[in-house]
Amino acid sequence: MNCSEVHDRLSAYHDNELSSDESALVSAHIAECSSCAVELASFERLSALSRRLTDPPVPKHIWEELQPKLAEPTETLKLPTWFLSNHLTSKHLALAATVLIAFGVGVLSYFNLTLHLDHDQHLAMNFSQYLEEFSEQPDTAQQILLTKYDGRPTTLQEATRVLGYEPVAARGLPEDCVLDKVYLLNMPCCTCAQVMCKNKEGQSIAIFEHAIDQPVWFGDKPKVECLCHDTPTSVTQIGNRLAATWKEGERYITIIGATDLDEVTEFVAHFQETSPAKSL
Amino acid sequence: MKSASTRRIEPLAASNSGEGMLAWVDMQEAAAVAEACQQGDPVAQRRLYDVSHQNVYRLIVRMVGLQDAADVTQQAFLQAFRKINQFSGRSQIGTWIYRVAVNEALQHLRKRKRRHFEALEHEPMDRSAASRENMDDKELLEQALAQLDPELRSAFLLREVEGLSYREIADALEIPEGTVGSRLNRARLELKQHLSEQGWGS
Repeated sequence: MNCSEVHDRLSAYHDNELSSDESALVSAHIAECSSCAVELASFERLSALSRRLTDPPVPKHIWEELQPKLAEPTETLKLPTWFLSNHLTSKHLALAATVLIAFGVGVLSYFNLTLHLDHDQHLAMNFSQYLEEFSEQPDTAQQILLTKYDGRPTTLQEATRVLGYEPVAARGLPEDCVLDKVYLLNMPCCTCAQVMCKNKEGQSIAIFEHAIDQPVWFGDKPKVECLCHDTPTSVTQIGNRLAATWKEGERYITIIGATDLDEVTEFVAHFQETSPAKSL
Repeated sequence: MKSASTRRIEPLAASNSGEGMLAWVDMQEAAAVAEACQQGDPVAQRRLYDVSHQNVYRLIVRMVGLQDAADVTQQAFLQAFRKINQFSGRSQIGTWIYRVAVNEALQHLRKRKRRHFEALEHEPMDRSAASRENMDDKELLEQALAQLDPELRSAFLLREVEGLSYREIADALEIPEGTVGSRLNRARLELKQHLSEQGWGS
């Protein structure tokens, strides 16, 4: 073994993670090579120093604040305050407070949705089924949509041609998100692009882009209105995941399956920052 | 010709506490607690927290800085309990907790960078020393760690402070086991360089 090969294995040797054969080869080299021996000795000193690091005392309030959150059910949503406590950090709460001051009381409220149109009711129903399935089985949920709305898999290029505009996802996805699939759906309102992606944890997130606002998508689920990256965004809870809608340029973006409000904000920020209008 | 080599099985050299992973009395209890947590048992949740919070907190303090550590630790446990059904039992519950904690910390760092909430890198853990001249070696190491790339930092901390094996680190960081050694090599070389510049070992 030469010095370079020994250097590549030095951590593994020092940590007793080499096979006995390899370890013997490294030992033999180090016995003969003073520079590699010095290198190894420095790793040993660094480890000794690391072992002396002092543990910081854990603040008691971590558990005290965590406990009530754990006791709350995750399946049902009763009050916006509950929703906020689970999904928003103290920074967000400060932000929400600012929003309330700026726009007055009433920003945070339930939407009373009145559904009169048949197709709206139909849409709400299909989406509630989709949303219920989504958090547990995104693939099954997808089949529901494709069946109901004559959906078909496509590519971003084809979607651009059919829709007459480039879907936002064509400008790239937020960091750590990877494109999974693209679909075209014939919704009652318009032909709609649906892009499926996976976040870092491998969870599916659906991105819908549509020409008109679709409050009925979320049926009578309670929503909160907040500012994500300074953009008015409606957020609702689906199981233990979030769905959010906001306006991007002339169209509306809806994402379903975000882990928390931070992830929603990442999407809002990303699509805004990559907007062609921004570069003008 | 590849010989049938056996891995040396030796106790872990690292870890502050000398307890290796987390302070479980026995692994059967760990498995039972994990299962009870999956049923939402509050007593088991408390037990898991009690056993792991010191390890998780010290890791997160060094990942995100003291100021945000409590929030990120709380979020990490909240995620761990919410997603505990995703824990398959193939890995140890301790490794899995570390994975959630590292993910939360890295996610927090990315968001902080993106939002430009804080323009400065986080302060080293111990700020009591006002000048480098007064810093002892431990403080120098805390400072060097704070400047290390977060991916390298997490590998180094899991090895040197938490005492994880390479297989456990690979599991916690979701990287191939073969990558762990090279990450630790880079981490150690960069830390040594930073420390030497501050006069360590001279």
